Amino acid sequence: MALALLPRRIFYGLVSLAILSVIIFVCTHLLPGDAATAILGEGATPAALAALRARLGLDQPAPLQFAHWLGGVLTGDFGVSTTLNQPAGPIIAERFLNSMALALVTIFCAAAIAIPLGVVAAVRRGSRLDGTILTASYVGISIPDFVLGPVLILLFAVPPLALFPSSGFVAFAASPAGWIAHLVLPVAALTVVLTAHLMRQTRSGMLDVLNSDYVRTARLKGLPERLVLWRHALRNALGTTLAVLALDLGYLMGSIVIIEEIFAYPGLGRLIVYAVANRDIPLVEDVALVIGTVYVAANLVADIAHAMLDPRLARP
Amino acid sequence: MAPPRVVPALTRRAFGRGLATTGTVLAMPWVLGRRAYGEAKPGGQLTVALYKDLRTLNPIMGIFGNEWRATCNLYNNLTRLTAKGGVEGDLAESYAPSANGASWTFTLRQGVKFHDGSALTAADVVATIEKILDPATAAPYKAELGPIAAVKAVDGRTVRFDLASPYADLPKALASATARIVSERGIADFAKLDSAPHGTGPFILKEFAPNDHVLMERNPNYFRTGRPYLDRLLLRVLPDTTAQVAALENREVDAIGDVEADSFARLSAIKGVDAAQVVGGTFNNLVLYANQPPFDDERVRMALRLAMDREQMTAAITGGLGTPADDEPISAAYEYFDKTLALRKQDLAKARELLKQAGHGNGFEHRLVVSNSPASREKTAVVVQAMAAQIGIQFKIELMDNARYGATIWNKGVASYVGNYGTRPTEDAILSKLYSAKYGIDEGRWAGTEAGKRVEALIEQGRAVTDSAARRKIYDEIQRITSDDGPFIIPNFFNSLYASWTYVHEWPALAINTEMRLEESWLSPEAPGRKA
Amino acid sequence: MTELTAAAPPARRQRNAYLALGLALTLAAIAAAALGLLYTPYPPARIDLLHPLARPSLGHLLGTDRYGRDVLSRVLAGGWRSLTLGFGATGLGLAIGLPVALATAYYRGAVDQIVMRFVDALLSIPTLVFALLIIVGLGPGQAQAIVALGVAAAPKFVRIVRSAALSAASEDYVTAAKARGERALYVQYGEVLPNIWPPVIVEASVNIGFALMGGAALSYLGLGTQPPFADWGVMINEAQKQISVTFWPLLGPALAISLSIIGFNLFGEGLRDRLHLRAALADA
Repeated sequence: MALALLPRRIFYGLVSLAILSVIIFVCTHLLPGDAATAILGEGATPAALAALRARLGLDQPAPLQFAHWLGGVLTGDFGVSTTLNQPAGPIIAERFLNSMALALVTIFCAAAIAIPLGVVAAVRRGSRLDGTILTASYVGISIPDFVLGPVLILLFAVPPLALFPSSGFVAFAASPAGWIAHLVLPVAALTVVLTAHLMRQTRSGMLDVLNSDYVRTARLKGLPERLVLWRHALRNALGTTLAVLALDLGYLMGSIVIIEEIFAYPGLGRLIVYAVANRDIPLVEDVALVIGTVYVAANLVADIAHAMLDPRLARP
Repeated sequence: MAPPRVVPALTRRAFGRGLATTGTVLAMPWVLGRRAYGEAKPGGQLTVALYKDLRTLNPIMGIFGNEWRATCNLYNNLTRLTAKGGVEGDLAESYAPSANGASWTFTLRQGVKFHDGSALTAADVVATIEKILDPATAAPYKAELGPIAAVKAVDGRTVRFDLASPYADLPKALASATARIVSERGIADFAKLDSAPHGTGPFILKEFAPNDHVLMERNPNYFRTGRPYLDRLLLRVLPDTTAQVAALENREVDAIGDVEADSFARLSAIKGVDAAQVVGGTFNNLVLYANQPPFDDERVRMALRLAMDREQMTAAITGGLGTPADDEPISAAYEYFDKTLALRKQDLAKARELLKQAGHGNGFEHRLVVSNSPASREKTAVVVQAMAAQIGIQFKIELMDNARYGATIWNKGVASYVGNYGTRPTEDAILSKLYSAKYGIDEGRWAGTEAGKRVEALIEQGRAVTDSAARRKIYDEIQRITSDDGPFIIPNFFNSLYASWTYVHEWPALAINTEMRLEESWLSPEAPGRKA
Repeated sequence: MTELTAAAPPARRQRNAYLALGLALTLAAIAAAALGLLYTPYPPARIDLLHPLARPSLGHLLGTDRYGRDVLSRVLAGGWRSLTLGFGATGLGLAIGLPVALATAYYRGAVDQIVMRFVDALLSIPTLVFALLIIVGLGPGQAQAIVALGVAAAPKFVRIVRSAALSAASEDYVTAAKARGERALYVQYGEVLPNIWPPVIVEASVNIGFALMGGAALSYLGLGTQPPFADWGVMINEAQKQISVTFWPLLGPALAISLSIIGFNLFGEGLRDRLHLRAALADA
């Protein structure tokens, strides 16, 4: 992608986010039950439901509710969570930062492990080392996360080892050491899942580049192999890896509900599942929008970086 | 390995229905609270792990146990339940009914202050109760307060409750979680009550992250001098049982406020952890609509009852941490539990015979809906299904999202389902809710039957009578009728399960596991919460 | 998470070993599932409340679960449900994704633009949340779970197939077919599709694993296969709650799901490499 296309890409992203909001609203609205049934539980009587719906504004026509939400978001007001009865903005902001921290640390760890392994596997393709790395990667993608999480807790968080806190979250501001300690196990679980995937993508990308004319030319020019590998080949192969990382960021922001539940980590994934289960439409909308924005932005950044790294693409 | 706390005698109602048969040792609450530990030492932070949702701190709108576990430390009620199942004044110094039973008068303690410094007056009580009774509030547990017609401030510290019909249980009903006393100012700011409490309780809110944690600090102006002992109280939501157990083992938390049956054995095995269980009144009821086939035929309901092996079911559903039940909702945790009622034995031959008489000799299929929350409902359904299959009744289980269940199935009269109820302060609260069309929801559509009408009349009588022996007679009869003819299968009650390190003293292990009042609790010097 | 590029073919020996192992594991999973349809040592839903959580023994080779049900019987019987879920959801995802992708890549222009904005929007919803919205809306049941996971996977298939089809569309044989005046459907399905199988196969085989995991995740949220029956994901989820007491009930279903996922992945990659080779030979 040439950088000149950037404004258009941003516009496309915004259009997608708008479509996303409508889809989420319609889907959530169509679900049986509403916030009033969720709030009242077994205390629900027809009269109480009617009274609560009136108080929460759930008796208004759906398009009006959507317009109300949209108007708020466009002016920076994320509205009020129906079931928590608190402004959604601060709740989401906190969860967003938590999820972002977990995601970035995980991505850093996964990349630090996967990229070197992927490069080595590609360079020595067909060797026993390559086979070992590939085989190990299959183990990573085949263990369900809700087995991996408890196993890590039982191995590392309880006596005799008791190396790390089992679960929970400590704010960085309150205690940087506590913050890191609490991140170790969830990051480890997620890194196992991501590394496998990322490693294989890096290997594929690297193999593609190594077979390309571009690298062949470099070799023909008589450049030392190490320079060809690390300066020319990896630089280009990283484009693929970056695209995968961008997708992973989106995944880590919203899809790791189970890891967040197991490690009692207050992230966006648990929040959106809570919101869906309780039919808290403003909260579902807000969180989906935030996750969507991260997804769109991450892909955009990955594309730009790809364009800057890969000379083949930078040329118009 | 430390054994679970063993308490020598089942003093209360020794070897009553089911108590002796589960093979577990049942700790009695008032014994638990009275172990000699020496002088209570103030100070330190207690961290308690909880399970699942904690959405709001508004006591009037709360429906989850965790919400009540939090609010009972931020607020007080007019009355509170004692460990023995009785009731005593909390914010009320004294209370008495009028001679004809048409009203109750409560006199408030003097010198009680809300967290904002304002003094408790009768006006605060009136504002709170009126807010609960106001239909526009849609308070979920309004009906369980009883037939309150009006509430009046007689003077600054006297409140009179005028009743629509005599109600002997009013003091106990006012101890329920929904009736915590909020200041007039708090009621005026009702929309913010979810996160900004206005209470008189032993702790003051410091920090609240919904569904994650609640941090409270000692209320230095608490009206019970010297209480609470703890400087800080932190409630943490840990939604995964493995993590919960690990957190306790690691001493990241000092106690678990609602232990899942699956982790109890593991917790009991940790040296230095007290795993305590108290007979509770929580149950899951399979609803058999008595106004529609096939369960409108009393013989079919009886056949199903006879197919149940209640002891085996209790062991399987509760993991041995419960007591068998006889299809009615009054457990040994209630004052008027009928201990003479013999547990119904499984009798498959008689069950098949009854089915045949009812014209279902070849059995039948029936839809059974289960909500995904709490998970114990699914266990009840699976085990009931296996028992029923023995006599040819094939339940087809449908497991669904809780909100869909709430909106389309629960109390809608469209399909059998597994309901879930917690322990109530009074027999009347749960009986009215389940069986009365007038005060409750008549969940089994049974109030129209002969037996149902009789029970409805008995419920009405039970509300008005104050004499204990007379009430016992009434509630005994209700238990007999509902057990023989009622519209539910209730195979067991769940024990209330707790776990705490031995350095936590005076842990409130009550039958009603949501009243987790920690004002009397304190920590030994070795507690991690004292070192930080 | 998607496979974005096709790797260059690895050494032949390794490639064949992958394909063989993948095929073996996949066939073993299918065989186990088929066996489970015909025979299980015990009825999989039969409860024996007197023997819960038994360790493996001659009577119960994989032990029993919390209700005393035989784990081996449940693994065998659950296989069919799991495979139906994995293959069904992937098949549905493909059935939606392929035509949309081929059409947008063929027509391009405004249709492509509009469809792709929708696809981008759907891709930005976390897959699990998307599946959750659908299954909560449709209600409980295995068919509903297949629809939920299949529809949730469809946008990803559109993305991948479209990019493969776009590069194929600029190839000579496609231009030639268009120049010959072939019908649009023929060009899409007769010319483009046969040439883009490799990435599609890899993605599909990976997605079978994702669908199995997704089904397990839904069951973690309490929305899985209807009790008393279970697929592997539901079994793992049930056993996971007692992992601090005993891990035996977890072992059978966890191995079954892990080995199958490895099998599908190896098979997909092996097959892709084989097709690559054939394409290379055909080009030569």
